[in-house]
Amino acid sequence: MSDLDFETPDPNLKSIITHDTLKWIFVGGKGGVGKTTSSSSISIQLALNNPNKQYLLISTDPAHNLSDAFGEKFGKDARKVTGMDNLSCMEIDPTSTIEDLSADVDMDGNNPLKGMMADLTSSIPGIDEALSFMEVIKHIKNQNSTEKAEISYDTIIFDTAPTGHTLRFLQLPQTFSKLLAKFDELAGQFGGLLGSMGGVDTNSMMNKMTELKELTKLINEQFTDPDVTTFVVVCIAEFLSLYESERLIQELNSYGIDVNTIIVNQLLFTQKEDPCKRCQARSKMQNKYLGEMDELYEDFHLVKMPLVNTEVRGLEKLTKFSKFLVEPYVPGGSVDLD
Amino acid sequence: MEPIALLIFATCFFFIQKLLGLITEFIVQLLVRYSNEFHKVKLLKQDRYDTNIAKNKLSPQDQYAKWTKLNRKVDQLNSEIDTAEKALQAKKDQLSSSTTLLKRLITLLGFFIKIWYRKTKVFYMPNVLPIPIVQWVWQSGVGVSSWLFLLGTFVSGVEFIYKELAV
Repeated sequence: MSDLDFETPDPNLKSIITHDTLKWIFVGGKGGVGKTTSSSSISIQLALNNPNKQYLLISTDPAHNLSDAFGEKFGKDARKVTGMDNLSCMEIDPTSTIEDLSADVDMDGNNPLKGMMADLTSSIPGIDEALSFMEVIKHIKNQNSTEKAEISYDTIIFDTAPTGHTLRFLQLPQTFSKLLAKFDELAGQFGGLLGSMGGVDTNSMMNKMTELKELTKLINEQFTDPDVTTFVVVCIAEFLSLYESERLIQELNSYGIDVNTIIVNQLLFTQKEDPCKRCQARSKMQNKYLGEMDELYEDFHLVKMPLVNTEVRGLEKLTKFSKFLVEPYVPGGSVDLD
Repeated sequence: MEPIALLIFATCFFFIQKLLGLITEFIVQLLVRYSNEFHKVKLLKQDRYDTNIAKNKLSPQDQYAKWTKLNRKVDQLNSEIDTAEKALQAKKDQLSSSTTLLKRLITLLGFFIKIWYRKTKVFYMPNVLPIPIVQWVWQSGVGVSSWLFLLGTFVSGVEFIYKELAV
């Protein structure tokens, strides 16, 4: 194919919104660039454009913002957004999930160690990522299950934590695979010893391990299939954010995860006749970085989002804002969400 | 074999063994040095050096796209260098393993000499101390194995001192 045949991808998210096979959409980037606003907007557009499908937006960021973004309280269990029939949200909460797990195991409410163990476990580094991974396993199980006891979501959107956490989370399936292979090896060597120990039900443990291994393999396959999983990078037109996004894209490529969309938030699009000197200066800087991005990411969908006149909070404002993802903002147009 | 002849033979054998070791190592290094793999690693490292120089001349804030493209190139070169170095190491291992037979033959010959002449003394120590136990040890003489062991320890010591001083 010659260079002349190359078509620049559309500067919008239509390809994601109209995609039929996507099951997992990750939204990530540097802290404070608008990941939650972007992931909420993507979810709303998906839900509005595909009314027959069910969507779930999960926050894996330990500092959750989904409740604040939508202006209603979400917890560790999926709950529908008020005013939307096919969009649910949940925030993964390590403390309460671990308390629930320990309640299942130990029914003695007076045990003073129980609370302490929950506190200790919830403060383990990486526990949020592990619980998010458990959530993925739960939904994979649900997708494969023939019993439809719970709502089966067509697509799950992840509002991820800043880059470092997200990369660790995305590495988990591979780490798990290695860990389980090691466990298999050890079980082969010490299986007899385990069996001779009282109180250890080796068969049930081995069955669970085999099941977990198969699920992890499935997750690995799904995460590296561009028809099933994609990653949307969110950034602002500033050097540190762009640099971190570039690092994120390179890492995702090395994991084999599809990434072909970048949302650039908080753009000023200041007009020449605007008297605000500070706006002119910042807009000039942003335009410079936008030019560089056009050159670097020519095969990406580069979605340029304006800085609006108000905080994007609540379903109404999010819906208005999310329209810019589909119909790109034209400089000079209204940025009034009220 | 006369003790003096055995002494000269064992000493010559020891040094020939050492020399052969050095020669084979030198030949392996030479072959590696002129191999395609070495040439590739050298070119890649030169390319990485030049790219880093070009990258460091740019301000990432002012020329972000150019700088990032060079950064991507450095990342790619790093991974290519890793692969090329592994191929080079494999080449080294392959060449070293081709000399293994020769090394084994020499080692085997060393064992044969030690076993065949195990009862022959290469020399006796002068009996200077009037202590019975020392006299007994002295009179029993120095065999081929002990002599080769002593030579080995001495040469290793000299090698160690040379290396330490060279560093």
